[in-house]
Amino acid sequence: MTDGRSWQGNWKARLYERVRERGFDSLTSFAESRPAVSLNALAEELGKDDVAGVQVMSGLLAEAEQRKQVTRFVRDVLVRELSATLPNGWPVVMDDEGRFQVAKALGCWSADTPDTHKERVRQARAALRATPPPAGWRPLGPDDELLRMLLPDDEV
Amino acid sequence: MAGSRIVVSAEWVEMMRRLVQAGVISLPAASAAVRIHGGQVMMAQAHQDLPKGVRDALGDGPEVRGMQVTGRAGAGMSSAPKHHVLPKEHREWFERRGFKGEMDIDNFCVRLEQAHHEALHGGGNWRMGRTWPGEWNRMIMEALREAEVEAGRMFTRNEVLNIVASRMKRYDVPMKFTKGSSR
Repeated sequence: MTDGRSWQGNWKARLYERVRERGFDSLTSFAESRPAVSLNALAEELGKDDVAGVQVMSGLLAEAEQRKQVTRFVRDVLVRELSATLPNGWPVVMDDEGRFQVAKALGCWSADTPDTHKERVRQARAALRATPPPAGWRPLGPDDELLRMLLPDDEV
Repeated sequence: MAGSRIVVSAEWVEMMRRLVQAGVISLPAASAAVRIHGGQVMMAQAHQDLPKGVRDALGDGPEVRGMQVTGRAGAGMSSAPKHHVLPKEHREWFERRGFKGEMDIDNFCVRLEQAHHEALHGGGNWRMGRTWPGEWNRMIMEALREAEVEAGRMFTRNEVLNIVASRMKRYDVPMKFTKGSSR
């Protein structure tokens, strides 16, 4: 947990300093070495008290824009959201609790998606509702087969 | 317990809510308790050394070297402005989901230093202001609304708080609610 310290000082410089200290030349390579780990957990590893999950996310987005891999970034955000909200995978029994956790993960996914991709994410969510993934589905990274079907790369 | 921390979780919000609802503690008492607790957290986490003049006046020693500037916030006397976590411009949306009376959105305010507040609304690029896609108000309403679309029904107050609590952690908003003004 943090207590508001993440926003003190030059947080972008702090973020990249921590990434370099851990031997990575980019936030993306740091994150890729920790697939399916929640953004908050990544932030905690970079700075237990002074890095926020949203800062890691905005840094990853900035790098993805440079690499023209925003779609992959969007899939990765969902993977990390699901690992936090549904650690045991897609609910086996869709009771009220299961439905709520799914709704929470997908609603937050939309909110975290950059404007350029919001419409595609809306369509992907509709596809998921129409044809839910198998119980226990737990994507381990942005290259998950089902995820790539839902949200294929369009940037080359 | 010395060194204890506030557990920022939906369970915590729920526990406070239950205590207030059950009449075990009043809402002002709850927020006062949390503020004091929060003060300890701040003191434990403050990282700035005392200014040299103050150190000189107190004399050198391990205790003094261990002292740190916390500001009024760290002493539990925060004067930082209060801000609504649940956006005021959507007051009716929250009222329909049970945020009324003692659970009015005015009771879910947090004190934030200016830099923190600006960051939440501008993403670190303050000039972007509310055009930043991750801007707090825009983000939280979208998360809640889209999650309701997924669930196919209106959320209860607790479910709204559950999502809000997880987003507060993501944005490092301290989970220390205080009563704000309805203006």
